[in-house]
Amino acid sequence: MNIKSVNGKNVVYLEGEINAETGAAVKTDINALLDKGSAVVLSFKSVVYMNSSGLREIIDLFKTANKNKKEISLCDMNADIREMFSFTGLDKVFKIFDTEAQALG
Amino acid sequence: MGVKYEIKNGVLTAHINPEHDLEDIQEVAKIVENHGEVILIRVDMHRCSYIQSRFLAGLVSVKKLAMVRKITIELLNVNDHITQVLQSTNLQKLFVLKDDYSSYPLEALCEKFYDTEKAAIVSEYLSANYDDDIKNKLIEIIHAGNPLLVEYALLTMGRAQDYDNIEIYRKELEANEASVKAAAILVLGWVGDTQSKERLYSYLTSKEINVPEAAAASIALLSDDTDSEKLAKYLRDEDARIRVVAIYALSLINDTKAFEYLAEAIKEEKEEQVRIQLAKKIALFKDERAGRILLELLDDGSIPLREAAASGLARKNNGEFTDILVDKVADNDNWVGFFAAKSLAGIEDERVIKKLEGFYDSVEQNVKLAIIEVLGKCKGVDAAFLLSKIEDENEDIRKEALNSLSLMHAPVALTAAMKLYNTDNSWLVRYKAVNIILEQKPLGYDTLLRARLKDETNKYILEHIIGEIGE
Amino acid sequence: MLINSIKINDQEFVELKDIIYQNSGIMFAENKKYLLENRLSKRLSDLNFTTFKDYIYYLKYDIKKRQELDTLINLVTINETYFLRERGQLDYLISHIVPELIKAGKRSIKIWSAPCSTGEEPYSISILLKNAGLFDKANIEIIATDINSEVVALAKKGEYRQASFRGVPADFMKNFDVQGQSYFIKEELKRHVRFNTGNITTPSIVSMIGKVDVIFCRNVLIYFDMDGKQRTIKNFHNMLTDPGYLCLGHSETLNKISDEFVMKNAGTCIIYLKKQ
Repeated sequence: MNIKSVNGKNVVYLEGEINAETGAAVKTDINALLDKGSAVVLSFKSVVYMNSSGLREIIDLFKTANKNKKEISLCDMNADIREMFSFTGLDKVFKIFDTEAQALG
Repeated sequence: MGVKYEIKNGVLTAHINPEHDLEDIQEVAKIVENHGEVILIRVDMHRCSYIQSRFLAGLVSVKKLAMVRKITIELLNVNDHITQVLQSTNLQKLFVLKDDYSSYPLEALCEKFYDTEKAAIVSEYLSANYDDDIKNKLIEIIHAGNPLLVEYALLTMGRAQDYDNIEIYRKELEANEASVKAAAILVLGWVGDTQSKERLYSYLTSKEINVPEAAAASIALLSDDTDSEKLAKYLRDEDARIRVVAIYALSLINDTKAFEYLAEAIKEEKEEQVRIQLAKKIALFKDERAGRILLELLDDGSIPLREAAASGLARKNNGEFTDILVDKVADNDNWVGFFAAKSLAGIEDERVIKKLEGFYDSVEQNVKLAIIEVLGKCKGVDAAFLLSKIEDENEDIRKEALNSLSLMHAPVALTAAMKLYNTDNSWLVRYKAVNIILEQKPLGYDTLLRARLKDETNKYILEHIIGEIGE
Repeated sequence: MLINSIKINDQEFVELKDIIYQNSGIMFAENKKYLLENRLSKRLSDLNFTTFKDYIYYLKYDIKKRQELDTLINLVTINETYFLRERGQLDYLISHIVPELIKAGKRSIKIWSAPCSTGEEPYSISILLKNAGLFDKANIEIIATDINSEVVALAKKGEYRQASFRGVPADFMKNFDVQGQSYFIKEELKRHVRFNTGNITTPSIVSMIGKVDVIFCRNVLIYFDMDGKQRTIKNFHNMLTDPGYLCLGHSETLNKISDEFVMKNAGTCIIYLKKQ
């Protein structure tokens, strides 16, 4: 998991597969990042597979962030991953941007 | 009658109603003249279902004044009708059109749930600004029971991650309207209400619109190790729609067990539409057997199924089966050929690249386009092949070749783009050329683009250039 | 809900909006990108495409491109409305207006829905009249008019997609036959509705439609200027019998437009009555 800081926002590049195990690890790391900063952008550019357990970890992350008034946005999803978000209606719950530049605003 | 306005931090916000006329907008101009600190003008039109044409004319004179002082004018909450008027009079490009829902009282915002086009956006706004007032209003709406409003009230609470009102969502599972039921089911998935999971299974076989689909999605979100097996039973349901819904849920769970069930189902399933869904979803699994299954389906008797399988392989794009796939580029079904070509993106094998180029002349237009696109994504492709295609008689071929060149040989693409920008007779190609010039921004690119403005006849290109470098 | 969202990039957007414009005369503004994404993503996904560019090539190079153009235009140009929209007035029509007309001795009743768009409103009326058994008690005709001949053709076909059924109760669906993703209004409900093409703002509409007892004209007056509103309401006044009922959209009023109607508060809705 690579992290880059752009204008005070951390961009986290998720990689490979997002499932229950990797998702939980990602969650711990990102919560730590959010303790320090106010916003994190999750880039899905290098994510190849994801399943509903992975989705659930992202929801959890979002829940904690929401509670602490921190902001999480997602970007750079391929069509298959985006479809998972839209089928579950979660594309309406998360802030999803096409590109990293847009997510950074 | 006078325009209500306020100035705060250099932002002038004017509140307009339909009766406002020329003298009112002239008044706004005066205010701007008298207030040197104004840097942004916001004209809020949320009360206007129509507008006096003289008012619009006056707005243009404010724009002239604003340009001198480099002030942006935003028109807020302009309805479709007025937007059309602005468009037909070519005024739209002078202003920035925006929606600003903070102009509306809460009551009026919730009324927008009636509007199919606006409901989702308003719901997003409300969830982003969720507070006790909004929450109480939404609960009030749910209790009042108008199904159109209840649907979006539920979705908004779910979006806002309101975990305190799960009982309310559960209760709406009993609603009489499918749209409300489906919303409640989704929201229970979002908030992770595992207690409701068993109950959601009973909705999987519902005949109602969107209800089984929502149940499949939420069951998957709430799933544990035992759910693949439970869902697999529905793969044998007599109703094809239920089988498809089970396929969706299993593909979301995406574990080894789920894969086994789908792999088994594709062997037994008879109905073409269901087989197509199976092929599409099997492509989403990382199991190495997935590619093999899709490859076999490429030789199926059903053309739509073969196309779905080829498209699945193109999405997987994992470099396996290259030799088989390259031969499918010349398939007798041109969409199978199209997807087969796309599946080769990223290969570096010169032999395969030559073969692709070799097929080019004998395949149909869409496959040609896919070949050119893919060559732009393969290392070691010679620019000569692509360069020869920017002379092609088909505009899409020229455009696609220009694009692929820009990915592989940026300097060559720039030279070509600068030429085609002035000479190509297709606006599609000129538009692409403009994009390449804008991406690479060579020295003096703005002068080059501006020089063309007087001869350019295509309005999309004109708007594009002016949008990027100004008039 | 439940739509895949495939994103459209700038070049794809201009190409697609040009295709739509060339084939329908409708021009999509920059801020309507989301509309194309929302309405077309599912279609793209059905065709196995993951980008709008591929779909544009399908529209240009597939052998069935003519047919696909029609599908495209249907998907993107139709204003989505839905069955039982602003239901209060529809219920009042069934519970009060029609029974009162029958009681007053009317044997033949005409209800006009204009503009009717893709037919959700006139068919909603037909369904409610049928379920209340009112077609057996009088000769009731529903006339449905729209200025756009293409939407009238769609209305006549009576084929609907999911979006038209927002908020309808479960048993409402029994009035339709399901075929794949489509819902067809049943023939026995269709035959009570007569469709035609016409412009409600021009005086010629009066002779074209003739006398009617009830007019539904909802959510369109707001789009007309004062002159257009007044001309339309004058037409309505000329067409309505005595008594004559006019139903407008819930945010619309006749205030400053006409004083030839009386406003009646009918509980959950407002109805305008022609002054006698």
